[in-house]
Amino acid sequence: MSSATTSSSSPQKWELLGAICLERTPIIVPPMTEIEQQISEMIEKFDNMRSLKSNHELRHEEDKKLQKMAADGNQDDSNPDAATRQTAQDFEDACNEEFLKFKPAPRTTAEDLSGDQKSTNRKLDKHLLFVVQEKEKKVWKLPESRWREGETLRETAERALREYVKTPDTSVRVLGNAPWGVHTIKYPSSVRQKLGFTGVKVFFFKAQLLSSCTTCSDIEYNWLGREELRNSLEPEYLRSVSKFLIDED
Amino acid sequence: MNKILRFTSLHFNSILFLIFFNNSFSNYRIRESLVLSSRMICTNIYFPTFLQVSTPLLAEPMKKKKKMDPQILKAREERKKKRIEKSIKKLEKNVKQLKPIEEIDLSISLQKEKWTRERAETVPEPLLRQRQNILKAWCTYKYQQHLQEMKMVDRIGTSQSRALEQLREISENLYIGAIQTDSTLLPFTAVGPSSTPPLNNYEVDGEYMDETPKWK
Repeated sequence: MSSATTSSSSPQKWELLGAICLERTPIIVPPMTEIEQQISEMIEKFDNMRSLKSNHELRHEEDKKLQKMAADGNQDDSNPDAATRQTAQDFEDACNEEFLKFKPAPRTTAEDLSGDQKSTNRKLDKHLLFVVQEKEKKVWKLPESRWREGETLRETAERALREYVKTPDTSVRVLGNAPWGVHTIKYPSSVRQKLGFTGVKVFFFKAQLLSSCTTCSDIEYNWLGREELRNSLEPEYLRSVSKFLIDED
Repeated sequence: MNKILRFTSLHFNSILFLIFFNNSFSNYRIRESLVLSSRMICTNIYFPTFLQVSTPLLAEPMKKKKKMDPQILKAREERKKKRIEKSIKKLEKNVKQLKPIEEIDLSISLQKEKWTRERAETVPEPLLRQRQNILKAWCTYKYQQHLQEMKMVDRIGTSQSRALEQLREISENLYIGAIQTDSTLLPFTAVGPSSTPPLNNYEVDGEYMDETPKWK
């Protein structure tokens, strides 16, 4: 391990950063794979075969019997409202018609089509990660902040988020006090002597977005899916981050 | 030791006299003003027979308690006992009464018409074979998925413990702050993914009433 070797040589000073890995969790389930589709169809088929007939099905059979009797010509006079009574088929049709009137929200949103990376309302079946752009260097990274004396690293990370996002505390859930991952950057020796630090250690804290949030206007930010992270984050940084991210597909 | 004698006399209309005698009758005398309470009667030692009375007492002597028939008492006690036992039994009976499960308690009418509801379908042979194949493929698929998940959990766990180790090397205090349990996370609730996203400004029509029966 890199840190173990460095600490043994001489007492090293590290700059401490707390970063927050804010995620929007999936809102809808991903589409079924082929095998999942097959097994669910099969289970449904066998469940149907093993089941007992419902009241509706019995009524349907009764209707059929009555129709047959009417066709044969021996109309049962004891049942005068046979013509006006609602059959099971009628009931089913009415239900289907009502169901067709209901339109569920589409699985792909307008933001999906326009590719608006600032919106959380896209890629509904995937995780979206909140990344911001550093002003001077134009580098994309997770919101981070320098550790101050007297606060825990989690508090640093929460403060980092507050610096970038205007959001009530209730809409973000930080997952635990322990960091989920760490990213180490070692300074070149010239910088090391000037600053008095060996390098920087960024500790990541995971958080979940529970409701929508408003971002400060003066920063560049994006909500990115897993594969989009590859284009914006630096490879080394991404490797440290993806160590603690949940797999997709 | 002194003896206390109690006299009741009709002449004095239920006034109590207390006369103190010495233990031995031979040297008979009455002590003067041996005050025990305000209800005392005073005597004179010079004229032992001269009795003086105190102010009338403002109370009646205690009424003699009516003696109850022990059998009646016994019967009464028995009845009391029985009543309590009965209520205990009732309570115990209620404890055993379980919440009925509708799916299991099949109504008698449904039980009777079960034969009318049965499907006379037999599963065709090719369908059975197809199911076999799908189940085999499903087994492999789920196993691979499980392996993947375990690998992922392992990877995330390693990442976290590595971060904690490195933090400990930098500062013990920060490490201790990091390993504290976060009580706000429990109980953990999450709204699971659905098959379609929620509709914006969806209006629920009609009134919903909770008809769940309550069981004590």
